[in-house]
Amino acid sequence: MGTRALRILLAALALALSGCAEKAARLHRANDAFPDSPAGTIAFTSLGPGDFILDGRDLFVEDLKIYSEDVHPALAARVDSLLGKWAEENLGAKVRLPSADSLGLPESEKRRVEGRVFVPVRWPWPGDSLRSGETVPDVVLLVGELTLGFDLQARSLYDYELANTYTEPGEKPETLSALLVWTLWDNRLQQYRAYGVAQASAPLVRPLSFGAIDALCKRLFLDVQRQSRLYPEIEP
Amino acid sequence: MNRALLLAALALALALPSGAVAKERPLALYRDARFEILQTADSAEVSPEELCAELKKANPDLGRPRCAVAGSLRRNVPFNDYALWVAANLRPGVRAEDLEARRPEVRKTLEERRDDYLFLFKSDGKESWLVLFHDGERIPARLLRVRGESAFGEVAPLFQGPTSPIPTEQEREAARREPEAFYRDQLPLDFRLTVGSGYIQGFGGHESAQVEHYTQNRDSASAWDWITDSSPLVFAEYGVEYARFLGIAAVLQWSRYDMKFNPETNPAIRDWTVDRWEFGARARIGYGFVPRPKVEIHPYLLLGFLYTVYDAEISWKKGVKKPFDSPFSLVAVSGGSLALGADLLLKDRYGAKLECGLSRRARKSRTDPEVGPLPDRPAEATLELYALFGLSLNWRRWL
Repeated sequence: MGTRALRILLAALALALSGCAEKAARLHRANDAFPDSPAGTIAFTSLGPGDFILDGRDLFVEDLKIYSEDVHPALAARVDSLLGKWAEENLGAKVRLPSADSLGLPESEKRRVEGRVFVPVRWPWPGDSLRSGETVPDVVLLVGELTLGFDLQARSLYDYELANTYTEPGEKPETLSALLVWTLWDNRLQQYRAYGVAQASAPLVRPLSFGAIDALCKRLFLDVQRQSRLYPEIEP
Repeated sequence: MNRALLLAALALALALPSGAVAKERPLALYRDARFEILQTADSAEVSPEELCAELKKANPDLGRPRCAVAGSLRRNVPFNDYALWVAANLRPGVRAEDLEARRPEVRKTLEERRDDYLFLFKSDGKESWLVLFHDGERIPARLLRVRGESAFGEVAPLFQGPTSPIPTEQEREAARREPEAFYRDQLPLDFRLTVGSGYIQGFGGHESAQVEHYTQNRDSASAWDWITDSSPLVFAEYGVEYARFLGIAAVLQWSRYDMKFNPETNPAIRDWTVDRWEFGARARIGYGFVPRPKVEIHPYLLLGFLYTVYDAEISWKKGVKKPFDSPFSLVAVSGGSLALGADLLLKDRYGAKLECGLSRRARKSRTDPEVGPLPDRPAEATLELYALFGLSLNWRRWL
């Protein structure tokens, strides 16, 4: 058997191994049926208290000097107002819809983004258009769960192989981070245009300030913008 | 080079299942089934009669298909909404998964209609779509897009192939509970007949050894001093293998050698050959790999016992006095072999064998040395390497 045969065998082996190798999965999916940028009225849903998840509450309580029972609603309201401001300023979204809970959207479903990454989404039923009074927006940014905490990784939360593994918490958190599950929803066809999970993190500076949280959220929303290809000229 | 290609092909065949590409599930074809056409505002006009005629023409095995417009589904409000939504979402680039029925009511309706084939045709003049729901699936079983005015031509190719009657609830339940074939049938008993050929290469003989005056040989310790030390061989083997693990077999093999005689000292002989017949019993221990359904590879380690008989045959020259009538009658020795091999088995029935081994034959001691004018019988010890390739037929019983 010559070296050529050996080479062919090795190539076949490499092929076999690459089949098993993990592909780096992206954290967002675009619908190929909607290649164009969204046009028309853009709306966005609010972040309800049920959609906001705070991780490492004690540190927020300690640094922000808020009562323990107030920290969740206070931060949820703050992030929601930041979201509203960003959507109005950067997306030109005129219509603000209530949160998914208030809209009575169906229970959350797990949708595959890519590979083993699944995100929980709450999408309206096919055939049901979201409306605000008389207006029926063409495109809606559906805001899903937003997680604010320390050292968060989208993959370790939404990749089903990693999601339920226990990792020893570090001595000290190193970054302040946030994740947001979002969907760009075509309200006319009741179909997603894109969905995914955006993430942002920044080195943690103690004591934590509201300013740092605001800056982080801004970067998080810009990541949504980047992933959804909404106005790609805006660089995060 | 061919061998290399073969090996590469084998390696690829083993590699492919790991990197398998997601494939469309085959469409179950039912006899005497019900075909319904979903109608939406922008759906294409296809009449039930047309559909039934096309189906009968495409596959007579479909029996008597019943075709209808899905009227009751049209009155089912959630389902009708869903059908409208699917029709509206048929755009270039859409995937079947993105047309999933998410509403529980719609899923229930689809499950109730699991035996029926629900069609949705849509056309905008330039592009046409065919959507098919079947087997209670939440996503369309088929989503086809064609250029042209109608996707009706895509119906016939979908319904080619063997059909089966619509399973009853009991049959469905039985099929659901049925274990996977490999685990259900744990213990196969394989009866296998193999026929093939191979090559023997002996070791330990002297290159220059020759038989002089019919009887004398400079070194007679190895049979390879009497006969040429390599030969093709033919073999037939019949055996039984239990649970892809243990096997016994009987083997018959034949090979032919030239006598290494000196023509000057043996003037009467034109041609002197020796047939070697071997009867053997062999036991093997192995393991069964099933890389994909209906393909099995059984590598094994084998110990064999051989009973060997040499039979010489001489053709004499005319006009020269024969020194004796026959050189030697049957000479029998026994021996053993140790080998590694593998059986490839396809569909439990057809197989191929590849085996390489080492065998040795000898008589324990020569207690009855023959003396006199007749030639001595040849030396008996042989040491050889062999390789076999065979094709086999297999008969499998389940225990």
